[in-house]
Amino acid sequence: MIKGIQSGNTATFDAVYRQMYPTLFVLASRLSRSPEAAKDIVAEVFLKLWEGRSSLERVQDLKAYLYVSTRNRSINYLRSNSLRAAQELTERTMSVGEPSADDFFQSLLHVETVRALREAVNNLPPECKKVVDLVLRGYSTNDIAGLLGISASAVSHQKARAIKLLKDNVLLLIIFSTPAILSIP
Amino acid sequence: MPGFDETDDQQAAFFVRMSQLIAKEKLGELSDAQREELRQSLAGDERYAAWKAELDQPALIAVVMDELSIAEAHVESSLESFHRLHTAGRPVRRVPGRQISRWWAAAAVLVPIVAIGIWVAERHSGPAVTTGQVTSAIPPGGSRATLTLGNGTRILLDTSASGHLVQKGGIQVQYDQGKIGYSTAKIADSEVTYNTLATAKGGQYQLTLPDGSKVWLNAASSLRYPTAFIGKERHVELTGEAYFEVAQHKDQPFTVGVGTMNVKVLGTEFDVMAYPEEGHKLTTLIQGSVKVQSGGEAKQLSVGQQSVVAAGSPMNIVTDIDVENVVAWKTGFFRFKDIDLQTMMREIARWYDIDVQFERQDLTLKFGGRISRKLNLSELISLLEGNGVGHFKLEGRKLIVLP
Repeated sequence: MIKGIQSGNTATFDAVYRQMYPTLFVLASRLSRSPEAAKDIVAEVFLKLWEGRSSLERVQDLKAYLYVSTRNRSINYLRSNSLRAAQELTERTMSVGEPSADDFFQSLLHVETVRALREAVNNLPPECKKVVDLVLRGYSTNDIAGLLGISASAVSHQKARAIKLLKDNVLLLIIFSTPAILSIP
Repeated sequence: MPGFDETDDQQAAFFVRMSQLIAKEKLGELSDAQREELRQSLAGDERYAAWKAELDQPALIAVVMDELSIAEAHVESSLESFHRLHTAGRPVRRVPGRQISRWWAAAAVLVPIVAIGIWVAERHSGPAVTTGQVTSAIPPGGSRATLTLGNGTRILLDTSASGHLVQKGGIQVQYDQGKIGYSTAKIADSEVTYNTLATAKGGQYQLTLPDGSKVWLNAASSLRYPTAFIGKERHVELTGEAYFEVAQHKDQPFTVGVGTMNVKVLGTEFDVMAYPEEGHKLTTLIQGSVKVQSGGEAKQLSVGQQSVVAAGSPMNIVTDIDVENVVAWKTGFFRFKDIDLQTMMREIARWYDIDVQFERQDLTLKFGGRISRKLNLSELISLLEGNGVGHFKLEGRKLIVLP
């Protein structure tokens, strides 16, 4: 997939963009503490990816590279912002702590895990998908039955179906062999 | 390449790999070899194991899912503008079969609303109204409160405030990151003073009383309590809403006064909601037993029951209450079930510190759903609009519900 982007293939780029935008956005808003800034930060990350595509050979793991790039840009944003704040409001400047390496890696782990879960869930048939989404959110079988207006046994059936579909590996192959999804013809 | 750090990259790649194994584990598809890899990789560092354990909390997963679904809603528009600005091209169409429906992305957060379904038809038959542009970012509420001591001193407690103070009789008070706690001490009558913990709109705070009882104070609420419980009774006074986990002291009953209503407890968990604008006082029992007294009436509640006290009508007991809905605020969610738009907007107004004005006339529809209390107001509004709840316009701190 790195090769695809290197060669200027916009289909590959778009696939990476669609897959990674939500997680990078969430990470950037957490680290920069500003959803407004996060939009710009993520746009810069992808611009750098696109414009620097010819020198991507050093990048081993594209996702890791994008996460680190988002972290760096979020920190740059905080630095330039506190500098500006310091210039404008010398008297009541509050020092905003920069996120630590732990903050970054912890968020990365949480966001990327949930992204992978959602990706798996989104590939399930619609009725199954609704049930599994609510299961992941911690609802009980009875709660889900009430919320979706179906019987508890129907909920259990969809759960079992989801487990089978996921176990059959059909979906997981798509989900977890990331390079395969991204190398689009 | 500037900013490129091989070590960071390698470490990030490690966490990407761990994430994918954890997701596989949760989906019930992890080979023995992968299970071993995951175990060994995380065993080296306590922090990593703790971060993984956090992913066992559905509440955390739900919050991240909500954050992601909000971001997903602007993937396509941002990709289009990216191409317009930088490649002079257009986004390549998505591969069939791997589409993440935008509708689903938003609906995931509010599935229950869809499930109730009353409004779904309305959404298509209603007139097309231009969505109000929401530009200013109004953040959600957070851990903020004011502590007023017996001598009138006021201490502002916000998310970052932490400190320690000693009051009359040697009573120690400690506050840190949204929580405040009192030491237990035997002191003389004359040394007891009263403290008041108050939240404004957009604030919430957690308190441990001198007897070890815990209180979660919701927005726009206050609790007045003594610095030591020395009499026959442990008595506190509430306005607004709070959730109580009362420590058991058999010979010293705990009572919560809300105006003329009194809730008497031994050791138990319950929620009292008594915002004046709601027009009634609700006491919901989660565990144990409480007795609600109001006017000349006194009624005992059992678990899952809720008493409704309203001026001019006898006390009403509702059974089979969805307890999760009542205490959702304490776990970081709005959770609505079959409620009207005005009630929903009053709760939102208390959390975002905004005023809500209704230009819409038809308010008969009922809604349900669960939304994170960590969203910005603009994100919340786009979710509500995306799910057809209504159309909104924000003017400063006034939210207008459009016809």
